[in-house]
Amino acid sequence: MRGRGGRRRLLALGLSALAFGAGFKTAFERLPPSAFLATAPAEGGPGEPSFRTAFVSRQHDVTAHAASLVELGDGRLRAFWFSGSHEGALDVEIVSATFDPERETWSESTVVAGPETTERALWRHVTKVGNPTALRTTDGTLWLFYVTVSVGGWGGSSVSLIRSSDDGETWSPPQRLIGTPFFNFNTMVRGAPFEYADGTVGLPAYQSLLRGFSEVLRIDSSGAVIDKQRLSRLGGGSQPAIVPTSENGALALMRPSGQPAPRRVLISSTRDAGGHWTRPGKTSLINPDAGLEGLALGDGRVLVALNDVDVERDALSLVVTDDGGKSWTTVHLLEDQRAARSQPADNDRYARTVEALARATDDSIADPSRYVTSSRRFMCWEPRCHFEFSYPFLIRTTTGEFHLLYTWNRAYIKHVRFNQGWLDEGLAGASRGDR
Amino acid sequence: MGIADLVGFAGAALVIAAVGVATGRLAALGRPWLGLVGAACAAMALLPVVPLPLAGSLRGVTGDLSVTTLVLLTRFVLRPAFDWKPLEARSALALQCLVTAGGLLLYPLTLGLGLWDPYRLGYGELWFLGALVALAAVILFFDLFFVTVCLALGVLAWSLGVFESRNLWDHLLDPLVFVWGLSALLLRSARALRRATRRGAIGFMSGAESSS
Repeated sequence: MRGRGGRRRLLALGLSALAFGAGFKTAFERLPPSAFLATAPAEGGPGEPSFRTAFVSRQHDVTAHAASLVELGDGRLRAFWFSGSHEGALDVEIVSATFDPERETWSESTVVAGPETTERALWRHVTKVGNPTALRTTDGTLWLFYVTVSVGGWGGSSVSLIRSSDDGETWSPPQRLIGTPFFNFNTMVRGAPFEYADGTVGLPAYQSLLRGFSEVLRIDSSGAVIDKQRLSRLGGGSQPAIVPTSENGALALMRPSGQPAPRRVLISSTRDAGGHWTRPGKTSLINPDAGLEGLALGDGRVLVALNDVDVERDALSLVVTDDGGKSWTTVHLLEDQRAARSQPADNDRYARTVEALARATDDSIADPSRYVTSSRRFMCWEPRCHFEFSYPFLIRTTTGEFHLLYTWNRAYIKHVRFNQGWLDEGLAGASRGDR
Repeated sequence: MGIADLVGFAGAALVIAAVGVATGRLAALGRPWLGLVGAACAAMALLPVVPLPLAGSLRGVTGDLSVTTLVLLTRFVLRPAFDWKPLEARSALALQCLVTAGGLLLYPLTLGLGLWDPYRLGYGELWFLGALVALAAVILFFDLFFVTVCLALGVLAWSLGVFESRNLWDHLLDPLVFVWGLSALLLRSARALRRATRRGAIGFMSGAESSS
C-alpha cells in the first residue's frame, strides 16, 4: 500500500511540475501591454462646409438597427447593421452594403452572417444575432464582431468574430469570443473597436444583465481574448464608446444604464493605454440611456454623436469637448422631433413629418409613403407615434471627411457626411459654455 | 471542426451520458447496464442530426466545460464499466470546498459587483499562477491525488491551448462544478446539523429521563 501511495504521490508531483512549468512558460510568453495605435492625421484643410445625407438601407417594413462603418482600402466605405422582422427575431441577419464616394451611392445590402450560418460554423446552438461592430486594421483585415444568443434574450449573449482579407467580399468562419466565466453569457458589443500599436484589437464590451457594466476586451491575432479591463461596476454605465486620444490616452464614454434620473453620460479616462481607468464620473451630457459614439479630432478635441435629451431618442446632436470631457459644446443638432412629444396624437401629421424627413434625407425618394408605413410599424404605440434617431456610429476617413450612420425610426440606417469646414461652422455659431 | 470544438463536444456528450448513468442508478440498473446506458447516451448526443447533434445544442447553453468537470464526469460515467471505487471522501470534500470558494469569489465579482475583476487574473497573471502553485503544494502535502490531477490537468490544458478559452479560470472552474460543490457542501452541512440536532435531542431526552 505504501509503495502504491508513494508512486501516486510521485505521479502527482511529476504532473504538477509539468503543468506548472508549462503554465509559467505560457504566462511569461503572454503579450505585454501595448500603447494605442496613433491615428494618422487627416489629409487636407477644413474645406468649404459640406453636409450631405442619404439612406444606407433600402428595404422597407423590416427593422434596421445598430450600424457600424469602416473605410476600405480603395476609399469606399462598408456599413454593417442588423436587419429582420424585429429586434431579437429569429430571422434577423447581419447585413452589409458599400458606399462609393465617387458616385455617392450605396450598394444593395448583402447578408454577411445569420443564426444558421453561425450555428453551423460554431458547432453550437445559436438562435439570434445582433449588434455588429467593425474595424479595419492597418494590415488591411476587416474584423466584424457581432452578438450571438444561444438561449433567452440579450442576457444570454456572447460575441462572435468573422474576418475578411478582401474588404468584405468573403469572410472567415465565425469564432466565438469568451468574455465571461458564467456559461460565457452576457457579453455584448456596440461601440467601435480600436487597434493597439502591437496589432491586437481592443473591443468595447458590456454586460446587459441587471443594470449592466462596461469593459474592454483585448483580442490577439488569432481572435482570442487575451485580456480584459473593467470600466465600470454594475449600474455604473454600459455600452462604452472608447475614444483613443493619444498613444496612451483615451476616454470611455458610457450610456447611463441603471442610473437614476436625471441621467448623464458617464466618463472614464486612461493615461496608460488602458492599464488603469479612472472611476467613472458623470458628464454634463444628458442622455436617455441610449448609445453614443465619439472620435478624437487630433487637436485635443473629441467629437461625440448622441441623443442629448432626457427621454426618448427623438433628437440627435453632435457635441465637442476640448478639455477631456469636463465641458461640452453642441456643434449641430442633426435631428430634433421633441416638439412632437407635446402635440396631440395625429396620424396625418406624423405621416407628413416622416415623409418630409425622408425627402430631406434623400430627395430622390420616389415613394416616401413607404417610409411612413415602416416607421409606423416600429414607432407607433399608444397614445401616439414616436421618432427615433439612435445608435450613432462615427468615423473619419483618410480624406478627412466625417461619416455618421444612425438608426432612423428603427426601420432604416441614415448616412450623414460632413467635413471639417461644416464642423467649424457649427462651432463658430455655437455659444460656448460648460453644461 | 478544431480541437477546441472536439473538447467542447466531448464535454457536452459527457454531461448527457452522466445524466443517463445517474438515471440508470436511480432505476437500480446493474453495472454492465449502466456502462451500456452511458455509452448509448454519449453516442446519441454525438449523432449527426441536422442542424446540430444534441451535444451541440447543449453546448450552446452550457458553454465548454472545465477540466475539473470533465475529469469528474469521465470518472462518473466510466466508473460502472471499470468498477472503480467511489471518489475518496477527503478528496471529494477538498474539491467541493475549492470549487465552491472559487465560484463564490469569481462569479459575483465577474457579474459586476465592484470594479475588480478576478477573471482577469486568468489571462496569465504570474501571481495567480504562483498562488495556484502554493495551493498545489498544500494539496500534495495532504495527499489529495484526485484534486492534484484536476488542478494539474487544468493548468496543462490552459498551457497547451486546447480549449476555446484562453483564461485559466475556465479550465479550472465552471458553473456546473460550482453548483455541484456548493450543493454537496450544503447537503453535508444539513446532514451534520440534523445529526447534531438529533444528538442534542437524544442528550436532552436522556438527561430528562435521568433527572426524572
